[in-house]
Amino acid sequence: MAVDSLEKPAVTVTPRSAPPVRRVKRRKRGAGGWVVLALVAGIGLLMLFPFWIAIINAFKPAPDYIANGPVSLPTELDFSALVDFWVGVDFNRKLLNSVVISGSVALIAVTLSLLSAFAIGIGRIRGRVWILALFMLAFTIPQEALVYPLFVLTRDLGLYDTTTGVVIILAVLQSAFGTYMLSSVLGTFPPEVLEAARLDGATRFQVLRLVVLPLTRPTTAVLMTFFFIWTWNDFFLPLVLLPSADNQTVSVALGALSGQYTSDPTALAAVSLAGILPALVFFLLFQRTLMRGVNLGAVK
Amino acid sequence: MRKHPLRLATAVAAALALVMIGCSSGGDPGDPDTLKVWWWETDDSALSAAWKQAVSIFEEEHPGVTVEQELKTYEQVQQSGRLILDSDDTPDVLEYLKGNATAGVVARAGLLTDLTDVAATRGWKLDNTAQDVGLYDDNGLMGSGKRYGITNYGEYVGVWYNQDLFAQHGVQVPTTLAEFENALKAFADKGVTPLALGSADYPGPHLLYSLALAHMDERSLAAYQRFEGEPDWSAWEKAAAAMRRWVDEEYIGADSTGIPAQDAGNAFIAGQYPMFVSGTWWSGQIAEQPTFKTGQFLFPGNELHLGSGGNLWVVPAKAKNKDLAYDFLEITQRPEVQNFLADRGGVPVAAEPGSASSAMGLLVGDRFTELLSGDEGGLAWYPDWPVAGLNDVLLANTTDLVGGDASPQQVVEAIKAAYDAGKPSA
Amino acid sequence: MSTSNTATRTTAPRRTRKGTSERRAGYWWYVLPGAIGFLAVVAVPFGMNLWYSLTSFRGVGDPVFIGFENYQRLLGDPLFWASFRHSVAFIVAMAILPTALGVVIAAVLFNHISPKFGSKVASFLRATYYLPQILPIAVAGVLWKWMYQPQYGIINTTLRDLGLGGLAQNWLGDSDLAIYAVMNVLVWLQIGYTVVVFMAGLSRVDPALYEAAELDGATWWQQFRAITLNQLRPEIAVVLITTSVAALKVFAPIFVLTRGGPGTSTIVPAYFSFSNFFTTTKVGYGAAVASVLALMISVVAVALLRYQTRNSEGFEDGRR
Repeated sequence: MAVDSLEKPAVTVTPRSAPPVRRVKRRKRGAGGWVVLALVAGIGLLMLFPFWIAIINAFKPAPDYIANGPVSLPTELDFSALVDFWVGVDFNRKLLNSVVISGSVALIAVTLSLLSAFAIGIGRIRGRVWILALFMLAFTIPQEALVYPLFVLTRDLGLYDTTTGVVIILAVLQSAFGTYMLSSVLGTFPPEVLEAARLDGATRFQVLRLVVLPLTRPTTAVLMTFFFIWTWNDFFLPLVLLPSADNQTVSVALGALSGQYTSDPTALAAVSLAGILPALVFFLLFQRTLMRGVNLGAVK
Repeated sequence: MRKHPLRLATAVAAALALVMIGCSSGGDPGDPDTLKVWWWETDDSALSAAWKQAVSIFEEEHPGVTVEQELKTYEQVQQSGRLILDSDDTPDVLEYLKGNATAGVVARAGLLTDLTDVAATRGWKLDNTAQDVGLYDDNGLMGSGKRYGITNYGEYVGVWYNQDLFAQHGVQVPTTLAEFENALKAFADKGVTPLALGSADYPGPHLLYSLALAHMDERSLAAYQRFEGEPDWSAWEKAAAAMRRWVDEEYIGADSTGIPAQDAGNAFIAGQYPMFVSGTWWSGQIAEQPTFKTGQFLFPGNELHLGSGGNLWVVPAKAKNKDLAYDFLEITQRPEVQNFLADRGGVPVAAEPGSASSAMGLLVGDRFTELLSGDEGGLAWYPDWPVAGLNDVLLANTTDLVGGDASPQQVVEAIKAAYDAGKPSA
Repeated sequence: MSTSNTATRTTAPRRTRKGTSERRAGYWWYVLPGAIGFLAVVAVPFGMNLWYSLTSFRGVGDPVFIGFENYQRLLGDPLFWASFRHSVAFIVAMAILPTALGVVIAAVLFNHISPKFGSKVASFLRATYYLPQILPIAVAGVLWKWMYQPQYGIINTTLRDLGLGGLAQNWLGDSDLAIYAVMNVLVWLQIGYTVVVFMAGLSRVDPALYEAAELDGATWWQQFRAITLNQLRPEIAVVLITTSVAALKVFAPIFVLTRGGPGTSTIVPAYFSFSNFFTTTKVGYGAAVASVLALMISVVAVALLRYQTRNSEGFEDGRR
């Protein structure tokens, strides 16, 4: 397929983090090597430690916690806190909300980024540097500066407390970063390919759909993963703009529960675990894209 | 690359997005057959139990009306409550924070329904001081003016104590501030930190205010809470100095600045401290603990005690089914609901005397009724009520005081500055 | 922006000759959705925010115009200045320290662990470092608060068990220590990001460089300085920009860990603005804080971008 043969130039734009294959045979480890390994593994354990704390407390009966504190291993496994939370806040509903919102934001934001970047990177419209600079404002302005006006605007447009409103807002905010990234990627797009398409009589939209889109798929996949996870963890705007329990997202449900007046330690641990679980699932699901993706921030 | 899970995820998300957009456009603006009720009390609390009972009574008496109850969180209502009330998505009736900075602000902005006439026509009995928390004047000041909310319960701050530890160390229940300090000293001398205190949260300011109330009377209280004259800041200076001294004498752990209220309460319940100065909202948890005999006395020597009517039921000005909301409010005030609340260890405002079956319910309920009668002093509200944002200032300064980062004078000056800055100019 | 500039320079002349301005005009349609979104979600709200900042506004009711009074008060507000001082500390914790540590760890994993113990081990370790990045911040806050709890928190209990009870501290409750405790959490959060970026950057470095250095008998430290640091300069620049902007905007970690306390020892501009918006309901004043913060971030971002452009150009010239 033509697409496959064309994929190469695009891949070079997205540096890979493929496992280093430069030395096939392993070098001697030596005592020093083990010490260094122990050191980095130790750091790794420190990084994981908070996760461990969450897991052992999530299944601890409340009296056990009050008597022995959070560090001891649970004397018996008690799933009631986790189940209570899950059922009590209708966590399935929150998961669904979060998946829908994050998924829609990822899709729309990538689409917006691609359209803008197409005009900026390939169309080279006049004033593109300024347009890009303006878009970057969306990235640098603190959300606190936007939240009150956004409330007023969404309310007057009838979008307050709707998923649609939050999806539009977050998609636009995140597409700023996507536009910046994709514009620089498309700026280095092989001009021969575009010329060839044009000679075949392709329209602009056909070029975008049939040439640019397939070639930038690795990059857009990474952006989509980013947007998904960022939206999933976004706390502030959903907190203010989605008051109804039916529209609430996972991170708002989690964040609200850490409020001081409703805190019960083992319940909090269970809640933490409920928050960790989906994150772990994404991590396993998206790990390869993500690892390639973080690198995207460093595209030259 | 071909079978990347991402593609699947994308497809699923796209499908769900379409479903969702379909869902969200079909809203229900003001269905006359639903009553939307919001509160933030968690399911294990006495209030939640009582209100659920009120909901079921309401449903029985209004066949065909469904009640949509949503559990909010305190933080959510505190932060975006104003915005919700200003939108078209208000519930018909909701639990709202009492006080000048919360209910006062929205009442003044016209976002709450004036319930004065409703209460009069329906003959609601709201003539006790606990119900003052529902009154706001034209400047949004609590305590007088029109009625914008009603409360179903009360609360007050006292000293919870561990009777076993008191007996073990031969300490008597104190009745004056001097005796209280002696009791604290008796424990401290034996290496026991007497007070569980989480000054990272509200218990710090609560203790400071309790100490200040020892030097205040009705007049200086009115000055502080209702701006009737100049507050007596010397009382606060004495209180701050006392609190500082208590830290130095190790009546309070210096590490309490890193301890939230919940941890302090848990530590008391675990039997690690003989005393815990905090409110009746702990009664449920304290009554449940099986390991030692608990009791409660009012802050020794004080005539004025932290406490008030509880948070409010309000009806938003933009509510769609106000009559149903009034019906619901009426049900929450009925003896059957109020007695139920007392029975669960809550502090009702209108229960029949002696209706509580539990010892804890009787203790806190009757003591609250006593405080309401106002013969021997009464309720002094909370320290952060007069001015919006004072809570943060009090918290910051109490931690500085306990942590030794500011002198008592500096602390009082900072509180006074914030108080004066936030005072209504009128 | 610099990125597109460099790109422009390499390919632009070729195409501008061919494309007429009429042909390019058609591309405007493609930027339209993004532009409308930007107007609606960023430009108009930010304009409204600027308007609020010139008013006295309780969040409900009508804003009352008061001119620059909010800004004047801001300049005299010690809390405002304190919050920006703390921002410097958080730039250290979110940008500088994670970058420094990240480069070292990435180099160790890449040059040391991967060749000696296999790339699987290295990838696994990299994944463990990255995990905090995808954890909801509210959850991270709850977990760290437990660990820092002065009485039963794991840190103090461990110290006491080791007989080092004297070192046990009131981590988040001591106004001198709290900021370091929060900084520690931020390093924990950020390090995964830098390690992953730098490892990916290293994979593009020509292995021959290291091999040549090794033949010359260069020590690991010499290789690290001469090759690793030098080759990673573009990545370092980008990481410093993104993390510094994030550090200036930092809100959620403060919100969940300390709420700016004890006292005001960890307050940051974003939280200061938030509490004015939502706690004290001084919306006009909060809007002024937010506007100043936005200006500040833009200045820092532009300054860093310019530095990056100059730096990477100089770097490229030096290489050739």
